[in-house]
Amino acid sequence: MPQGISRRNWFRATSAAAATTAAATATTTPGQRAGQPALQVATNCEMCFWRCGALAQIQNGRVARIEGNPQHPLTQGRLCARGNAGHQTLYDPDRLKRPQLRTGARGEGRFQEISWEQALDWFAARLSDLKSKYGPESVAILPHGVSSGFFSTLMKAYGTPNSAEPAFAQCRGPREVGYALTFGRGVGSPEPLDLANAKAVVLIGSHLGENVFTSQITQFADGLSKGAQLIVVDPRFSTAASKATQWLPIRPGTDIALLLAWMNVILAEGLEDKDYLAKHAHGLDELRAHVKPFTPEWASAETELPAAQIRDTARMMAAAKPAVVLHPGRHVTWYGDDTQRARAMAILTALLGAWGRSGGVLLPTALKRGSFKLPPFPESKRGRADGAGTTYPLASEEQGVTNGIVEATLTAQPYPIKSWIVYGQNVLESIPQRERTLAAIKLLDLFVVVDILPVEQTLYADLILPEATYLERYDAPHIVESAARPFISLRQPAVAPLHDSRPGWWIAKQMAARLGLDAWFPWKNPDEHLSKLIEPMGISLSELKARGAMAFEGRPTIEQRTEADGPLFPTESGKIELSSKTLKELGHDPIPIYHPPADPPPGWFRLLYGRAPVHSFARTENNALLNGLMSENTVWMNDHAARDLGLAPGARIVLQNSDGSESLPVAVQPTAAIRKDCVYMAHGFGQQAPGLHKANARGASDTPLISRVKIDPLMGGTGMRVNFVRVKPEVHT
Amino acid sequence: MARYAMVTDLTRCVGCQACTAACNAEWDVPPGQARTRVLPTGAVGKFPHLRSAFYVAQCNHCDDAPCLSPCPSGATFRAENGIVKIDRNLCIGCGFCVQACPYEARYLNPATKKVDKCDFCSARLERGRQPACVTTCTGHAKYFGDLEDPGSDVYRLVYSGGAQRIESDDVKVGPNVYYAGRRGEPELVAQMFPPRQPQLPSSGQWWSKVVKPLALAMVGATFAGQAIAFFTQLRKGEGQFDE
Amino acid sequence: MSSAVQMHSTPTGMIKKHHVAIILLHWFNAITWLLELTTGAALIQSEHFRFAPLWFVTMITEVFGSRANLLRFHIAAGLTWITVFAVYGIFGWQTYFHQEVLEREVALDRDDFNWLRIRLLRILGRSNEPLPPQGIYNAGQKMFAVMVYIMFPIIMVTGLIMAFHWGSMTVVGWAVVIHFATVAVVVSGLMVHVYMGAVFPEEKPAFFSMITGMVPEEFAYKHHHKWWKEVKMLEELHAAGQPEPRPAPAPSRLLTALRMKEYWPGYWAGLGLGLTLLATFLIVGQGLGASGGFTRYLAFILSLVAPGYASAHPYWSNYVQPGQPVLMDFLVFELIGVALGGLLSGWLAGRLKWTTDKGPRISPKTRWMLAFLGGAISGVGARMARGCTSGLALSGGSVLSAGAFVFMLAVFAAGFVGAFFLRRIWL
Repeated sequence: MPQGISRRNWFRATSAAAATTAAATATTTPGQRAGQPALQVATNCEMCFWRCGALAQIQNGRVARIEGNPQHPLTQGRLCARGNAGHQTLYDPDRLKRPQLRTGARGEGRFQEISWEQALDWFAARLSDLKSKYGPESVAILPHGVSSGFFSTLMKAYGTPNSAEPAFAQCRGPREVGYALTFGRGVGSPEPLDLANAKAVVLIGSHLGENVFTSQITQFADGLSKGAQLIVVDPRFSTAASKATQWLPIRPGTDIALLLAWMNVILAEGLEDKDYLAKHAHGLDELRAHVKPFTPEWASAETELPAAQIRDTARMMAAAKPAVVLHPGRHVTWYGDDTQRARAMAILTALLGAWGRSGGVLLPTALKRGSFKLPPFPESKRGRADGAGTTYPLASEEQGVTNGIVEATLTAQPYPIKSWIVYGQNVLESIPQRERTLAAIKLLDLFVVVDILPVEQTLYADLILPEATYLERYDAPHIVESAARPFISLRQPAVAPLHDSRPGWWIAKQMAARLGLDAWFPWKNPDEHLSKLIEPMGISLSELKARGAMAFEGRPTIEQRTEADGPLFPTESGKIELSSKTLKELGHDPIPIYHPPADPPPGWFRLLYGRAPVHSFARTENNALLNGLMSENTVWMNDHAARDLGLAPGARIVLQNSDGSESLPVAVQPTAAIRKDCVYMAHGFGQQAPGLHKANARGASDTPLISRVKIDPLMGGTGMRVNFVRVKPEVHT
Repeated sequence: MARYAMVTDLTRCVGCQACTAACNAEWDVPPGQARTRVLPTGAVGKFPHLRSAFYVAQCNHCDDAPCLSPCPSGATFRAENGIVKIDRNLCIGCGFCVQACPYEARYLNPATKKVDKCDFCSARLERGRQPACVTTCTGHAKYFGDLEDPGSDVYRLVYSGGAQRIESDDVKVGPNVYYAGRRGEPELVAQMFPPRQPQLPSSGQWWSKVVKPLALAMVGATFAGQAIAFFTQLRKGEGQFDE
Repeated sequence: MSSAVQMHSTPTGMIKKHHVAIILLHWFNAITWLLELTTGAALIQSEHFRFAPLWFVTMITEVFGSRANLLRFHIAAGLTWITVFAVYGIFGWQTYFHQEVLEREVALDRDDFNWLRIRLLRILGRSNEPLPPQGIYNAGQKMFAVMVYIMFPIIMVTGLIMAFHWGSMTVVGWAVVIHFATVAVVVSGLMVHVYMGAVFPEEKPAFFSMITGMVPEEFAYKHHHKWWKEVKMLEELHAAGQPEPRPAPAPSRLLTALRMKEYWPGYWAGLGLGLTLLATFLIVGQGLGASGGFTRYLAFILSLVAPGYASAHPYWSNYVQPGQPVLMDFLVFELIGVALGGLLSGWLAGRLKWTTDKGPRISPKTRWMLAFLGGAISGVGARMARGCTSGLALSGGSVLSAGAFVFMLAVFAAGFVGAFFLRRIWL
């Protein structure tokens, strides 16, 4: 067991770390450390949400290096650039170091450092005030990440149902809803895609490669090496497109037309998985009739793709069935019809018989978890303020609708929201319509931010609570059921918290004590909490701590399912709903219908955005190592379009949207790799936070340019690709 | 003797730069520098018939490494296992080797003021571990091993997997880093990033072409003059070795 | 030899030429240069730039153990050199730099240029013209000084640039080249300087003056006439009631001994031997010895003549082992050094001659036979005692080995007894 360490060793590592925190500023001579054996702590990464298995290597009480944990069942020792750079976030000199109470005006950035005792007392007093004045529902929590559960529990116990994370309405909400409407369950994260065994991979709305999830990349590459056909639908010649058998540079916003045409070809030519559909599907005849008019020729006019290519690619994926991965994408809140788009993808997946099949989309295997007996949470009489379950009938009540919270705060409807507590996300970057978010913040009585770095939102906070980074804390374990082999992976501290930072669980538990909500936190320490949780799994905590992650047997395909796994398709009909009864009852299209998008006027471009492989959201741009790899983004613009505008490569431009909002200056990158009607930029740059010395004002942010959104009526998601931008004419430097 | 080689399967590479980050972390490479870099070729061709690939660049540990002879202090040397290394204790930071490298694999570390480059993670090899870039590669695109070992991945990829060297017509120095790809990626990379002719900076050229011959001539002439004087003296019998 | 000034009769005394500080600086400089040239030449290894033969580079590298050590030594010695010059320059600004350097060492006048021309012609046997009168330093020495004072700062600065990587790669690259070029220029001058001082017969007093500080007045009169006149003028001024001239310091016994061709006083020599012993402990990690070295020579001959016998023999196999060079031992080289050092010392003192030291009653032949016999007995004894007076008594005594003192007592006891019987051989 070369990679694992015994519990005693680990303990020695952490206590040594605690003892030498003072010496943590000492640096190693380049190369001096390299190659030397180190004490290792197995944990999982939080540089993004994939949470790959990581081994933190401790030398002289410092995390000198982070390597992948080969014992992690999913990621198998691989880490991406961000994972390799984790220690630079831990040792980022810009970190929030002490609790701070605002002394200046909101946004001014004047704070007073206070003790945790003072900070938590103050916070608890304010929450008690708000509860008695406006009721507990006036407080909303906007969490993200593994430790958000502790805060959600705290706030539920406090009495507010208002919890919303951008992972839903700004990210994968439409996908989860669309697939759940079809198959009875969402895709889940990490997506259980059998890319390694797929004979055809279809990426429509996924820029896998620029979007790096280690295990997904590994399996994707495995598939390619085995000769899988790759069909990439993207207005941009993405990394994935460069590996594609067929690249379809689609007109943005017309995905549903393409998906309907693909279904048309498959059904017209009888290429669907007939046995699978006969056995598991419901509504095939309605679907057949529905897609009949949507021929490749019809779609060609909408998508600007050759009809022959549409036909060829449909046949290509049909030939590979059922080993086809139609990648469901991840951030899919684009045009306001995103749930229907996800539905179309789910239906196509069903036609190919790929759901629950080897080489297709795998099924989750439930793990038994232990839990403490908690008192029931107080019921709210006023209900949710964000519209989840009401205005947006299919929105997740677990994840909530962030933009619904913003709306409620601005309008005081259905009732006033007086306080936001933000944990583990950056609302000014994650929620579109930045001006509205800022206006809402200014209306708040209490704005509390729990964060690691002085990101822009902290300037507006009344109270800033510095959290320990993932390398300094326990978190709720990462329990993954949506994988071929379900597993549990542990987050445990590699070193003691630096500065005066504290783990999220500690903050939540301390607050619970102050608010008299102890009963919902019946454990003394993370060990007790973890032990209870894994009790029914038949594993020991010490072994889990040594190995970092442990896997269990999975039953990921339909053929392997047993009674214990429950219904195969937990829909109302118990079958795959090609035509959705639920949607029909809600008064929406039971089968997706294509609505053409508005085209940008001449001289304007549709703004597209995406990820850079070395950064996560707006979270990692200040990391010294990653900043060294990419410190600024660029604007991809079609080379002909750039030439028409007289823009040379590297020319600094300012983008302006139809509402007059402007970006920071950013370099233009003319390229043949993008259509003429859109521009593209990586998200997360152009932050306006003076406290981030490496990231501040580097490159441009797409968030101010997304001043318009198209709300998905089904689940409240913000369609964000409906903004047009142009190069601000007078600025050419 | 081992003949180490690296093979990068460019079909499997998605340009995520995990290798660069792992390498930078492993070797404390300062921001903005790298021992291994991932360079996109950019889109080549006419829309929509485009091609692109990533060039995963690093030291090639060439058989005829052009960086060896220009190093005045002998800091750059070839270890017994064929790996081209830099002895940090000897490097004076003149950068002659930086210009000599056809693959631009060397950089001057601004912190140490010494030249640095990939050494196939020799310190890890000594512990029986693979190079950091190989173990972290998200696409499993990198393979490292011994070309003398027929059971190794690199042997298979080089001798039957079509892996090839990045060379140009002018520059063939026997690189030991190979590239594979199902879609012509190595050819595209060779086209977009051809190795350049090894160069010696003007100072180095002055040394080898002007200063060294002149210095030797000057010292030689002085010696010859003294010899003539000495024998003249002897002949004239003026040599009183005691006053 | 004719001289431009012939009014005075040839003087016979000694006059002071060099301050002791200058003497020390000179020899410090000489040693540093010897070390830096050796290590520097060995450091330049690449085929593009190397000029020393490869065997030399390899040998010097092996002496230092590794190239890194070699470079460290080169830098350390260079830094010491710079520091010493800096100290001299700062603390001796007025006396050393201003008077010594600017006024006397580098200022060339018309006489100097003529001297250069004539000197050269005379050396080549093309002229018998008398040499123009010279100051305390002749024009050749001045030329060398000028060059040295221009080149030294360049060598120092470029050395520092390389050692501490000051500046960009371009700067360091040029520093390498300039360092090398300036050293080459100095080496050319140095060759003339060393030739003149050590080989050229007329300048021999100048060489000795760098040891004693004094030159014969006759030499000064002939070769540095202008300076001699200055000195005399000053003396006359003092004699005429001017302030007392600083009395020329009485040469120490050591310096006198060096001058007077006498053997060193025993205490001084003992101190010197002790320091040498200390140095060998520091540098090679072992003491001095003699018989062990001879044993090695014998073993070497044996290994050539009868290798099988030698490597199987219980005693000789200690020295002769396959794959290990027999002569790779400090004592082997030490003995060569002892011979060379003795020769040098004899030459310096003017004692070099073929002779057989013996008592008056015996013939040289008897003396040689007795010497051989005595040598054989002491050789066997030394090996039985596992050391001789050097290896056992001297080196052993210095580390307070009990055996050394027993040995010494035995040596003295046997000596007293033996001397009684053998006294006629010497007396």
